[in-house]
Amino acid sequence: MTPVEAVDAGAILEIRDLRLHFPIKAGLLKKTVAYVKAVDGVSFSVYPGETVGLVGESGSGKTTIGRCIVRLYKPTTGYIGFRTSEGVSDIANLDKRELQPIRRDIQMLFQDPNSSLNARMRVGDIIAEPLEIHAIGTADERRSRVEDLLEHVGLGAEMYNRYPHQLSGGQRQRVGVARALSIEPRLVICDEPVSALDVSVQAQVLNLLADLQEELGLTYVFIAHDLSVVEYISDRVMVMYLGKLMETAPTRKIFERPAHPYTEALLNSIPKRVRGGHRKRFVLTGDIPSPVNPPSGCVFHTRCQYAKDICKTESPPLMPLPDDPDTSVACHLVDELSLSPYYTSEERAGMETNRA
Amino acid sequence: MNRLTGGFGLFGARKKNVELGVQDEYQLLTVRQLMIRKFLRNRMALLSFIALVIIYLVTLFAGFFAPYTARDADSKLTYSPPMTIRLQDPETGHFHPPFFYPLRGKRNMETFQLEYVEEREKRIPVQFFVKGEPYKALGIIAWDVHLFGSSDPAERLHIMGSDVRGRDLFSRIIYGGQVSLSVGIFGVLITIAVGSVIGTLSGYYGGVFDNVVQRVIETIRSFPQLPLWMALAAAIPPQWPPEWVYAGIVVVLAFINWTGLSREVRGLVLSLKERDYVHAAEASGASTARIVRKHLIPNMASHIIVTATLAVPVTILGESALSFLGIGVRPPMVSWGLLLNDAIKIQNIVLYPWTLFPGAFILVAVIAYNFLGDGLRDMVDPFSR
Ligand SMILES: Nc1ncnc2c1ncn2[C@@H]1O[C@H](COP(=O)(O)OP(=O)(O)O)[C@@H](O)[C@H]1O
Ligand code: SF4
Ligand SMILES: [Mg+2]
Repeated sequence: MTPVEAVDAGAILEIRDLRLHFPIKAGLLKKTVAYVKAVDGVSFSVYPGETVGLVGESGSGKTTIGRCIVRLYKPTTGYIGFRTSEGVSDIANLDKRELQPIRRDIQMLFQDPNSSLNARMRVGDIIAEPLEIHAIGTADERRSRVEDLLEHVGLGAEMYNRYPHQLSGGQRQRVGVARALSIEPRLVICDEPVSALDVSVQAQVLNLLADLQEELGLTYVFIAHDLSVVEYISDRVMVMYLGKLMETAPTRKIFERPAHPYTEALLNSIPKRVRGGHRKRFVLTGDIPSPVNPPSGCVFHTRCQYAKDICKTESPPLMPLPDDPDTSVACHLVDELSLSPYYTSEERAGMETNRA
Repeated sequence: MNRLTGGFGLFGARKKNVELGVQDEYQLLTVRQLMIRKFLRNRMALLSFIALVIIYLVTLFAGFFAPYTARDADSKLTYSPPMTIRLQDPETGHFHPPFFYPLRGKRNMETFQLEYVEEREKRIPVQFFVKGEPYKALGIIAWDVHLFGSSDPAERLHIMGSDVRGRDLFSRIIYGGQVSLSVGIFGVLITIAVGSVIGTLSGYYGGVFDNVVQRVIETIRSFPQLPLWMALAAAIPPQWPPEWVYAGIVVVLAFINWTGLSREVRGLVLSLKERDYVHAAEASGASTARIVRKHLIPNMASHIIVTATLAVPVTILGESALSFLGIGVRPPMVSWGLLLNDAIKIQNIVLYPWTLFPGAFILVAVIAYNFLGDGLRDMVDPFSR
């Protein structure tokens, strides 16, 4: 493990200019004819104990980023600095053996618990798998650890010998949570962990994740395709479109003062829960363009209602707002536009007093 | 470093909102129980399974179940037709313990054929657990008791007739089953071993290895099956001892079958390795060996068993075809195909139709294996109701 100079000293995870271009092969000789630019120059930091939401339509590259962080994929280029007690190492460039100790610190929670649990394994063995892989504890210790975990995620130790098909969807995702936490990771990549679940159990699983985070001091990167889910759980939100970040901001600001047209469009697609003045709403039409040939200039220009000529030729960099360095936006017109919020700060204050 | 010590404190006994799932019967059964239940529901498969178990037991203990050995000849009773075991005297109508009338051959002076008539004066009782020709049970235990047989060693009982040298066809069919049925099993074992290893490697690693393997498989499969078998079987040196020829035939038959299984396994691996539970294991740092052992094999095993079961009858037919054509196992070994070779001439089928009996056994075994394979296929997906 070679320590790397970290730029962002406080971050547990720092990603710089990450790219993953999947080659498309064709023909008998399997020549590469094009690339799917699933992630195309993404930089961000994650700080210990926080939850960062990663939001964007399906196909924008969120899962790919998550899989690069847990190194299911090797990035094409870029830097993924992860801080351990021994210093910072660049996960993007470690080999299999060097990665092994770091894999204990980063785990992934998958979208669909039906496919993330092996139907031929007992629940207890599924949860114990990461412990077994890293040879942690004796078989007895592992067993009692798993039983503790089962209780902890609200399943009960008697589930140890069950098979996944014997559980409900919500229970299965709890097993997924228990497996992700069994080796005590510090960072968990949650890839749309509730979007495959019934609405009635989504909140239960989100609550469980929030409780566990508080209790265990976990850091989450929480992926969702819908801002309404991350509103609840995230401290900060990163809005992603076609392999690039469009806006990163504290959750509250995303809802109260969106600074990017794509963020506004995503907000408009959430059904409104508060009473108040409805402005003319802009709704996204069409599909996300192909990441093989992304649009020139600003990748969002083909669907942006504010697009101007410059948007078609020049790619706007992700820049902090001059008056608000917590928010970064990639838009040429960031200073000129006045975008409609999901709710105003007064509405929000009203909601909070209602809740209290 | 053991993190467990620090870790346990974090997980107190605090219970979270326990969810009570719906629990119908389906949810209470384990995977294995679900599979067994599905299999038992398929009557034909169950029946075929029982039939195959019986056939295999009979051939395994051939010495006991066969009244004679495979080579025991009686020159006075060549091509004798099947003899009837009777309980009733056809003349008097009286009932007796099982008996038969011996056959006496008479030359028909017009056709010069030997014609057999029952000698009604002599009633020979059929005896169970009769002492007869010595044999070695399971190839090791010397014994001479047979399940049934003629009580008079001088008067032979051929319930399925006899062949050109007067050897008991029924006994030869039982001994022949040892070869025909075991060729199926051994051929398929080789198929499983080669096919699943190569299929797993090419599915998991892909790349150049996979490319080469796929081209080789396509080449092998571009030949029609039977002519390729014949060509390969013909390449087995004639001076080899019969046991080697037998092994050679097994290898020849497996040579084509492994390609089908290997493709199936490759397809399974390609799909399984993209399942999230495999990704979860990889993200936790599982070795390839562990993923194959814990995730791929358990999820492929039942598919492999089904494919293998359905490959057994193909192998049995292959052996029969080769032996029937005289390029399979060689005498003094006996197999069903080799026995059927007696019926190769059309006049033999007309004059001695019982020489077709081995074909009936081939048919029964092949059909039973196919039903069994179908039943197992249903079982493979225990979660579909
Ligand atoms: N293994 C892969 N090979 C080729 N293309 C891929 C692969 N995985 C994802 N992609 C493509 O990359 C893009 C981003 O996918 P993904 O990261 O899954 O998006 P999201 O999770 O935001 O829906 C999509 O266009 C998808 O088709
Ligand atoms: S840069 Fe132009 S096209 Fe892109 S989001 Fe801003 S206004 Fe729209
Ligand atoms: Mg995704």
